[in-house]
Amino acid sequence: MSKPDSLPPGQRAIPNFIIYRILGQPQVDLTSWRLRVGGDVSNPLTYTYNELLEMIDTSYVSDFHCVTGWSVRNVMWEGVSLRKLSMKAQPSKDVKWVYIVSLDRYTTVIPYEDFLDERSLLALRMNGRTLSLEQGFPARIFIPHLYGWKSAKWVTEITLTKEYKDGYWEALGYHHRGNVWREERFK
Amino acid sequence: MLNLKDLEIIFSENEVIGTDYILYSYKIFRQGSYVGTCRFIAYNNKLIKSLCTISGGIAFE
Repeated sequence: MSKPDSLPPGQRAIPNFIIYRILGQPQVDLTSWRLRVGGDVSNPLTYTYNELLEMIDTSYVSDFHCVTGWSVRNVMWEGVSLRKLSMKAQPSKDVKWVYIVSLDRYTTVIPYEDFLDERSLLALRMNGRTLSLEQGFPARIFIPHLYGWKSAKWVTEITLTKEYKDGYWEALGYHHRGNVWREERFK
Repeated sequence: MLNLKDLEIIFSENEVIGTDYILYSYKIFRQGSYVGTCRFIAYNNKLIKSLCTISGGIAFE
């Protein structure tokens, strides 16, 4: 499915990210910020930022694709495998969806099978640097084969669940999966 | 007097122009007070032009 030398259909490369903050720029206080992984799991977990930094296990270079049609090529990503975060929480066998909540109350939903992809990441660093505030510090999702609205910034809650629930853009007609190579932009 | 070392520069927004140019906007604050806005134009991520609009009554050191 992934074609590293070509852009997905309908995309054009631009030099850098266009920053979207549809619900505004949240303020981040690391002393109180936590990432919670819960839902239909037997071992719900809470992580501090420093704990996540110590768990960094994945780094690679990959393009970022926005559903509005622009892509940024060759971004260096570093973070924690979402598969690892999921397994530590010991999910129910019935989990099919992952519901993401951010500090600004932005939400999105990701199919569990895509969440478990070996390249799906809780990103803590981009291009060799700590995430900037506008890029989602302290942590954001990144899933290379899904459009960017699934790569929620300022993530604070990851809920593994059997039940589908629309996130912010999905409620406005955007696709439940958002695979860039299949052009899954809208439902 | 405006001392550049005292300033806080906060990313505001950006937009792409065509495929190679991006316009960036930053808001400038001093001790929590808005001072002005700086705009930068980059061509393929290389800065080519900048324009800062500073509120009236502020002088540079």
